[in-house]
Amino acid sequence: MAVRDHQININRKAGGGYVIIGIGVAASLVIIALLTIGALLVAGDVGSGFGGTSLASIWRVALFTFWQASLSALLSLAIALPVARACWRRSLAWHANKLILLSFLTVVMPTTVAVSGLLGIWGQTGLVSSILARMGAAPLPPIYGLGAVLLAHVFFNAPLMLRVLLTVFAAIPAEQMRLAAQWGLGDWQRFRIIEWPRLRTVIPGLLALVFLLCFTSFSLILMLGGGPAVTTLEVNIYTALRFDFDLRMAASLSLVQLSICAVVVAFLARFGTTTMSGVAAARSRRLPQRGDENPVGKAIDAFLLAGFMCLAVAPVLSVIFKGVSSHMVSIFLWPSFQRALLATLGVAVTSGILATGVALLMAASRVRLGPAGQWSFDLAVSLYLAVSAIVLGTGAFILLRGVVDVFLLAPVLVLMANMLVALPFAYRVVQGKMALLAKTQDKLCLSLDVRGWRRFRLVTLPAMAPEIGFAAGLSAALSVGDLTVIALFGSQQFQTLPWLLYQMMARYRTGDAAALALILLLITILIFVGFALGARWLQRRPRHAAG
Amino acid sequence: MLQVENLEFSWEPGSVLSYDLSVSSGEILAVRGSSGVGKTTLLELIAGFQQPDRGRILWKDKDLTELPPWERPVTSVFQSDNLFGHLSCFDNVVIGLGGRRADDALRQQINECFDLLGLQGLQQRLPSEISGGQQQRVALARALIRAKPILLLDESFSALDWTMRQGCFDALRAVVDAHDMATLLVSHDDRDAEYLECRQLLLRPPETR
Amino acid sequence: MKSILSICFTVLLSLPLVAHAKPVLTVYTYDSFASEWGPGPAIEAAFEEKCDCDLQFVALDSSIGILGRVQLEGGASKADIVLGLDTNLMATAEQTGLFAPHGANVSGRTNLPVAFDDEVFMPFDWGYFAFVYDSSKLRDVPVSLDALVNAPDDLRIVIQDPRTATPGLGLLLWIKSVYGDEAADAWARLAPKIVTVTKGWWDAYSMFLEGEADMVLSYSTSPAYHMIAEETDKYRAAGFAEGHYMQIEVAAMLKSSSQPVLARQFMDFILTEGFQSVIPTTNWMYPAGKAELPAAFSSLITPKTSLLFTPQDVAANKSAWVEEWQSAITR
Repeated sequence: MAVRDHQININRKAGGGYVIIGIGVAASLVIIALLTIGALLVAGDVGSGFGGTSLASIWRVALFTFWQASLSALLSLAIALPVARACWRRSLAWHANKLILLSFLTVVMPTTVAVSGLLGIWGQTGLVSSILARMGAAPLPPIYGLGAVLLAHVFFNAPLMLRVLLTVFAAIPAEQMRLAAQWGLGDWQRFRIIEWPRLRTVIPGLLALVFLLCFTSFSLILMLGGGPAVTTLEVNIYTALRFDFDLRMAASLSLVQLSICAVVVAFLARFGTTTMSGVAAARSRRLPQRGDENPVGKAIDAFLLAGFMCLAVAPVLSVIFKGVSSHMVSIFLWPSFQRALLATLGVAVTSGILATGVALLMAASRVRLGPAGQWSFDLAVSLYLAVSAIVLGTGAFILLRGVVDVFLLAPVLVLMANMLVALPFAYRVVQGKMALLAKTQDKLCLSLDVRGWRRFRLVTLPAMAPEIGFAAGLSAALSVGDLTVIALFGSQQFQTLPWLLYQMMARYRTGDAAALALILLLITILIFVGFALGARWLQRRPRHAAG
Repeated sequence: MLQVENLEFSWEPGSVLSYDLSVSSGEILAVRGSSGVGKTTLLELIAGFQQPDRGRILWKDKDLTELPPWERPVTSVFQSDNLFGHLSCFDNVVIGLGGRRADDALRQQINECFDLLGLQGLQQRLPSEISGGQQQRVALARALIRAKPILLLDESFSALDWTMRQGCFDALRAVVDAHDMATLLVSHDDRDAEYLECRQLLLRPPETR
Repeated sequence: MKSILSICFTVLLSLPLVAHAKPVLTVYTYDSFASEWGPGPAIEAAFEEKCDCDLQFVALDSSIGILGRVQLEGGASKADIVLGLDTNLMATAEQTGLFAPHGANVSGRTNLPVAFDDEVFMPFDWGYFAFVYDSSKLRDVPVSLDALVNAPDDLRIVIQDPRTATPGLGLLLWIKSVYGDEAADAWARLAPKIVTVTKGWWDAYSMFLEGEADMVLSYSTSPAYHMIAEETDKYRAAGFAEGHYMQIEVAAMLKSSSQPVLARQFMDFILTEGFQSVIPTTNWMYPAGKAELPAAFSSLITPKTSLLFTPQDVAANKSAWVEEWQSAITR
């Protein structure tokens, strides 16, 4: 009586032209990335060629970058997984989401702001040191170096992993938990039999994502690395581009970076999917299991959770405390602030919507492709995690400089660059759900002739509303915090808030800078929440579905 | 008249399912057989979700075999998940009409249909707010309004208790009679065919070739 | 209401026409110069009075960024003037061949501790690099570079990366000019005291202000800001016996400028009081021309020796010296 779970196989594509468009978009993504790098290579004679770095030192830097990124990813997982299990065991998944949102902000805040928050807790005059001093102990030593970099990477990426892991736990069917309870499975057995098979599909993708984020990390390295010994390819690309004008070097380093990242992503893709739903975990309470009441277990869980909250949320609170002041009010009155605010919001909201739109298109097309096609799509999108915004921007600049006044085009270029940087994230958020929906709703939709745009508008959008809200919010938030792209194209006429912040920082204006950092944080939260609520509008019940 | 002529299909190489049957307009055919014998597959082939290796499917002498699902004059009612969770029952019916606007005439028609099938007043409810039997009857309402001449039911009522099932069968009769639909009903319960007083077809297990 | 709208509309439409009547002089500079609390606005006002033109600043993110931008833009650049390069970039800038002689008379008008007379590059302000400390917190202040290098390792200093920030490069050249071939050894002795090497000046300075370090590499004029804007004199610069390395900031006009007459006028304007008087309390540097200094400046350190490599020396050796620094400091 069981219905076999098979692919339906009709003799015409259920998809329409959108698959072609999706393929076109994927191809364009690859072409744009290669074009911009190529532009750097071709225009290479512009540079004054100060950089005389040998192959051996490039190899050293690449190796170090790889090593540092792998460690960071593994460490983040090593922390996120136990905390996720602790959350799950204590049925805190739903509440945890609110706190995780807070710590998640460190991923999207400008790195400068986030690191200063970190230093506010762990620096020599930070909270911990003050507490130690009051207790009479010696203050913390300076924390710069590889250790600091790894720690910071973990702080900023573990919440991301945690969020995704929690959705996996929440997706465990209640029946399995009932079986576990009835059979009296212990904690380790539950992990091995029920949890791990699901986690296993998600973890490689998560590792790949965090690896890429840490591999291309650069502001953080510069701020916490402590010196030239701790450096990444991205730092070298930045230096080559902005300070040595060695375009060829920057392009070559970009290609090296791209290749390494592509290999790692491809390798990890064999073991799992790239989805990262991260949408709020279900509210159902987990059935009590054997071993839940064990006091040692409870203590460990409490320690893990409290520890994580302190570590992850504290830096954000530090930003808040430092920034709250009368400066906040006076800032709102500056005309430059108001202009920058409008520019930031405009670019952020637009790039959020664009990135989500493109991600949806690609996710929808991906469903209709075979495994090779799907794999290429994933790679094409992930490319933009490995291509730095600065290379994109400079390449675009070179390509367009003869053709058009780049200053006039600045807002558009910033928008496009932000969209491309956010795309891999938006894609990961929507892709999994899209694939699932296609599978479960295909037969019904096809038999009712609900296809193409109609299907997307009436069926897919409402079903995907939470993912869309999260993807758009995330993309927009990433844009709010961007400092690299705007540094290339900003001008007096076109400024965003991070750039204003950067300017203020260079002018001794600590109070204003801290206040603006806090305002940035609040705006990021607003945008996140705004898009999440806005997505609910997608779920509104239409008066009638026809038309 | 729906004719399935020498249809052959294999899931695995060497094991071939074959079908040859016909159903007249207004007739209900109960398709029975043991598990794995290919009852659902038959419906999928007729609906167009799978392509046969050999043979034809004809409706009033028109060959349907090459047509995609949405071009076939068929309505399918699955065992579950017939309705979109985010749409009201009313909207669930309308969405199956290929973009027709819900004008007053249609609205009237749907309301009458709901009355006929014992769904009075449920138009604005969400599927999650009504019982399983009511959900299946909403799917039947949709079939009725769509008025396609072929109706396929794959264990549509098997998950319901006997009383609810009888109610659904009465509704089914009303729907079939309204448009003289050629109907195939897959079910594993003997009582179903008895209650409906309809022809039965027992499928043979797949041949090994 | 409609009539008000149409009047507004007409006025708005005609504004560009009015504005475009004046020629536009475009100056590329670094962002803090052009920002509303930098020298930009006052200088713009002063020059526009004299020139009957529209002076527009284009703010780029750093002085090195300015050179990079005009190089990227090539002949199509709309810049008439670049303002904000320093002597370390001069040789590179000259090699690009993008800049034209300014034709202004420099001799007798400058107020620099070293001789500076260049046909193409016009100095507009200068300063000394110095280590700044909090006098209420630090007791044993080094009195020479050597004292700093040999200070006990619990002295925490923060510096900038010579590849990305001008003070960082300044310190590199400072140590090189004092120690010559022994520079690598000096760096090795300095390294344990370095808390971190930051990308930009502000990253290091804010760390110092927050107490993460005892001394920060900055300018000898930094204390003036705190004295004038915050009315505190606890921040001081440490004067070193060997002398201090200088930074002279320069401007130049582009060969491809579409307003060469105006550009030359501006280059000459740089050394006039209208420009120079703005510098001390907005850019927090010494004016290159003759201008009055605020009272607070008199309490700043005045090094006996001003150290400065020639631009050609810097251009020829920079990459080698930076590599030497890199290996010395990572040992």
